[in-house]
Amino acid sequence: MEASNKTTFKRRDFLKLSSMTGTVLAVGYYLPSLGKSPELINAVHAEEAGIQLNNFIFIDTAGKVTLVNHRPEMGQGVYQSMPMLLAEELEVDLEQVDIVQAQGDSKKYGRQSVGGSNSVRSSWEASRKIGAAAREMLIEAATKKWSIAKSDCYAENGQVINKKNKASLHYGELVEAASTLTAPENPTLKSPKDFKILGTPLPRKDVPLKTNGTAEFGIDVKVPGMLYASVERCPVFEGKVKSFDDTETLKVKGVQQVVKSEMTVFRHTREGVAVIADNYWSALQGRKKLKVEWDFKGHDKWDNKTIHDDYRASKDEKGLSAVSRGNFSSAYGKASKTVEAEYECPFQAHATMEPMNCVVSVVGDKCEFWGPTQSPNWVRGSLAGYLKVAPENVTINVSFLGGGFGRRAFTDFPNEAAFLSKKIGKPIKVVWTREDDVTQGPFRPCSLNVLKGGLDDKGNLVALEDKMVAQITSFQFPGADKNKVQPWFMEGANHHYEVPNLAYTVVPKELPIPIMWWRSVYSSTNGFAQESFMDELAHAAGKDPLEFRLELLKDEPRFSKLLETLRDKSEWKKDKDAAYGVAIVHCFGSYCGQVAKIRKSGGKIKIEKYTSVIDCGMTVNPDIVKAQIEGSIMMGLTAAFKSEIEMKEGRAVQANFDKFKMLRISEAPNVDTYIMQNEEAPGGVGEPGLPPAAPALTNAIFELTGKRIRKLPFDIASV
Amino acid sequence: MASISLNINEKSYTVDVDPQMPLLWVIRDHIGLTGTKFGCGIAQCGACTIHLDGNAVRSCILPVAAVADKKITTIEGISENNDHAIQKAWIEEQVPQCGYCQSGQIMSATALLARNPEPTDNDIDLAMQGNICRCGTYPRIRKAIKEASKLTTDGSK
Repeated sequence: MEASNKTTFKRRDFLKLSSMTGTVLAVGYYLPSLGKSPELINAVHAEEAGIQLNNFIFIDTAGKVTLVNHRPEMGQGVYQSMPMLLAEELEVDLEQVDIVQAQGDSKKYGRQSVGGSNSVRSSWEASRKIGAAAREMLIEAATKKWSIAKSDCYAENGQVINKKNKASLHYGELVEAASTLTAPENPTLKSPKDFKILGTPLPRKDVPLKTNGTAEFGIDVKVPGMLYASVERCPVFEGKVKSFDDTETLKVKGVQQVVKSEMTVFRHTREGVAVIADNYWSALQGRKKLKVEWDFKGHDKWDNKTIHDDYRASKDEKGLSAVSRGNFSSAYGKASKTVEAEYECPFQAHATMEPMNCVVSVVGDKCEFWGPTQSPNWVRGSLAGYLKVAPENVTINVSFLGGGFGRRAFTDFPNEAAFLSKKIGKPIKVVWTREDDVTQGPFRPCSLNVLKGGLDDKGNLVALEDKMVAQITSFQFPGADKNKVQPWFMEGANHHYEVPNLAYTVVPKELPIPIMWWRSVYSSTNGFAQESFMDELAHAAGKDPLEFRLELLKDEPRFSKLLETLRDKSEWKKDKDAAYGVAIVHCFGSYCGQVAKIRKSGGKIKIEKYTSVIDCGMTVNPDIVKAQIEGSIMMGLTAAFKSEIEMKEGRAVQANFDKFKMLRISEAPNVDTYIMQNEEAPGGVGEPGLPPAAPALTNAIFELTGKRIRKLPFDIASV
Repeated sequence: MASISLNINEKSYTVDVDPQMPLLWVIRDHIGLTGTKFGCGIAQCGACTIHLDGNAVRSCILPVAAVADKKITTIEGISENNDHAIQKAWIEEQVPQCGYCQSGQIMSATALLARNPEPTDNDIDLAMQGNICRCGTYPRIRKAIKEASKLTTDGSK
């Protein structure tokens, strides 16, 4: 990102000579911040040790290299991939470096949020430039020591080497001299063919912390004087507290106080009653004894049926045009064969395995946050605005995240904890129960897609319409332009298909139900609708579904090469006793195609294998790419036949994993993933694997049973 | 409140807590072993899995009074140095993503291997289906358990 370059790419941003010590550039002095994770060290403590750190790379005089990961680690692998970008250009062995976690500070680190499959894409050049500039300064320092030309030396494995006499100086011996130099503004980046680290499946440095219990998540944070809170929030969105009776609650040992609480959710305030105790279990016990009277403000009338009917009633509205070419209506009218279908997807909760939580301490005009957030910068700004203090007075400590999927990008839970800390005057740790986490939202929006397709007499697709009826996440923010369609509203609906008359339209709906980004956002619903419908069209045209897509994408080389690879790797339709389904979706800058291979065994559908091919351009760590695809397929399958949030009387019906069902290991197919090799710019990785998962399966089920599934989730046991 | 003695990871602890408090919260908030995680509170997700006398159990619904003087093992007691075969295999296969459920996964997997050193796919499904992973690491968990089984049985042959 632009911002990242501007804020991080200054002379003082790295390799800084400390005037206090006069001996090092930037020193790896640090103290563990969150206690016990030896490698999860917060960069701020270096500042407290007297060294100004405004950078990504520290080298001490002994040559020890410490790299800053400025992005929150939620499972997607930035704790490894961000330092890999720096290390590649810096010419250091990743095994030999320490990684520290940055605090939330956009002035130091640029954009830090994780979401939209964006981390590698937006840091690919910026982070490499920071590493390359450091390398060039170290080389220049060596040339001065040796009085030779730059072309006579090179950097490798934490050393600068003299080409002529093979003499070498390790980086620690060069830091002081390098620190007096001006950082080059446009350092030379390595050519991809010279990469040693990027594109290799190096083991993740966070993994050993996650196999022995030492990784620290937000829920594990303890700060001195901290109290615990559990909050009974209004079950109906936008409802208010009328009154509450805490007599029995206050009798529970350990409960200290009961207070009315508030949490900002977009432009609304959600009210609740918070039980404050000296331990979490007591807070939970006290909460069970609360009696609260709510004012639902008339928002208790929404349920699945009213929403469904309302969406149906809107499907003939003109809506807002997202993509349009040719003349759909005219071509559809003249088509020799037409197909029409409606596809529905439900609300979904994110259900990160670590329920929402954080610790916030508000003291005077200062605020400190500890916890799992995808948006360190947004949380900082949000807390500052909410508490009416300067952003510089707000410290954001980022722990590991026990899952994110979009949910932890939101600022509601930090704001609520800040409200409580300010009110109580102590650091407060708010831990949501699983029921809070699943019922309170924000959710993935539910959707209705109405699709129409027209074929000519040769079975060519000449007209295609896709109309999405759904709530729009960004319209919830104050001041949103509700007449403007952003391209991502219809992401996942592929406009690269060579159809001369095409119309993709959005009919925005408004409901008092908070919604949010959920892994792959609208691609998860649009992708299911469109890739299922493409299958319907292929069958209507009497063509093989994979060949039908290939024909329509023959002038799109990245799509067509991927489909050909997918056909080969999946051994498409070679096993005559199995059924195959295919889907291909382009989103977040990458292309992902999948084939589900299924068969009936003992009267039940058995998902035997997924073959997945992704073209995400150049990769940082191909093993992380594969892991993300595997995980995306599992989450896509969960949404396909396990989980949904239903609404009844303005509240979520499913509350815990007994009803909000997750895929289990016994239902998980094996996955083979292939990555297209090219030198295209990096695309997203965390999300593009999800949208094809459901339609690949339902298309295979149609192949096997003749039953077309148009509504998720479906009961796989009864197919 | 009651004074209860516990044996966790071969160390003795005495805690003064509500006897109905689930072992999970005693372990996490009172003893300070935070590797065991809270996921659902109703024994549906397995994030809180520990060993009780060698068996994998859910600590989120287990009243602390019921486990006094029994042998409790948490993730911290498996091996700090990651040298248990399951941990080695987990690292080899790069299983964890977010990592939050992995303590529980590892506790279920170590209990499985202890009683069944060469589990079949079906054995793995049965032993592991109480542990949810939202990141979807299941295919790697399956591979890692087989890898660990190989490490263990090769070593003993």
